[in-house]
Amino acid sequence: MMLTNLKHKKIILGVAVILIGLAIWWASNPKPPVMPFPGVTLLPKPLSLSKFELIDHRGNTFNNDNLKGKWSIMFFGYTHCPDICPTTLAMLNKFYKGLPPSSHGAPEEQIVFVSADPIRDTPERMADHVTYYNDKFIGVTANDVATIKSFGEEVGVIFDYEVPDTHELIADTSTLTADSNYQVEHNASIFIIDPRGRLAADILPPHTVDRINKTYKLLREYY
Amino acid sequence: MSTFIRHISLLALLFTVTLQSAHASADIVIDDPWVREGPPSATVLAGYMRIKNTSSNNHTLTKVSSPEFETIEMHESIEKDGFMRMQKHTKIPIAARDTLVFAPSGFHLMLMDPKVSIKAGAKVTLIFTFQDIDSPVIAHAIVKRVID
Repeated sequence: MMLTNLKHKKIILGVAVILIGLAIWWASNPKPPVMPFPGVTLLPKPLSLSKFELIDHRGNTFNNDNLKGKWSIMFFGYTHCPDICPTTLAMLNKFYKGLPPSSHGAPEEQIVFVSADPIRDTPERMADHVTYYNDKFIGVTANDVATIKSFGEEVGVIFDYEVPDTHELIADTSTLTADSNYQVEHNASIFIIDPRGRLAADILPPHTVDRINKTYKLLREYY
Repeated sequence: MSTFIRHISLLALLFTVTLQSAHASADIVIDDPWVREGPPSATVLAGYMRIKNTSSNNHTLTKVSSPEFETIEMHESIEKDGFMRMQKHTKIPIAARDTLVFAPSGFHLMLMDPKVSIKAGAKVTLIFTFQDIDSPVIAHAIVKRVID
């Protein structure tokens, strides 16, 4: 009997500690605003990205530092994608051009288009592609598939290479060359990275300027 | 006898006319065909339009070709749980009096390996082949620059 009482007390004490702990955590971590539309996630706590090193469309290194000091709006795609990627890049250009001018001159936002297809998307090809939409856009690629895949996983993007007609998965991408006929299947989310280089929001398609605008505005109010 | 032959010929003629009207390319109207201009190095472009089946017969689109491109495929962008995939189609049925819409983020023509430079304002000839229509339907798509 004594033992049972003691056990009960221990359990009650344990629950109380957990509840107090939760209350403290709750108070110190305000929840992000409730999104007025589905398919948009604001991370309760922005997610730091592990160290990465990619190449921008000018052939320069693009690493964690390049995501610092401004808000980045990021989309993954590839230059052989005829429908979704051009439609999304055109939409991002409309969003970018509609942003209010910065109070201190330099733009507070950057649009980053990350290639999910580094085999075909050389920095030169990325340059030709992104600057067609806007000469301020940044195109990012890598020397190999593994590098871009590991960066994608950090942000929450997975992509696969497949045979166009059969949709058969190409597991060994080392067999692919720039002349191979394959397509890339990928998440089409738009991500917002905060000025400390941390992932702050994930926006699912279908993408509209209005959805990106509202999400970005809420993020700016929240931070 | 001659009256009989005349009647038969008339019937045959009527039959032919009926057949022709059921399988004529005039059953199909291609509305607002356009091609999205791409960056200078683009080897893959997308084409869009509305294909109206104005007849009371079902038709099936089986092929689209163009003298300006090496290959054209019919694709559909499909979004599922935030994932985008491209589904290739080789036959797309269009029911009687129905319209098949090719529009951004859905059905699109995938125009591959242009033989000439495809710039905004240019025209692209699209040749649509239907399973049950003898002659192809030809449309002239306008190339548009849509960057915002």
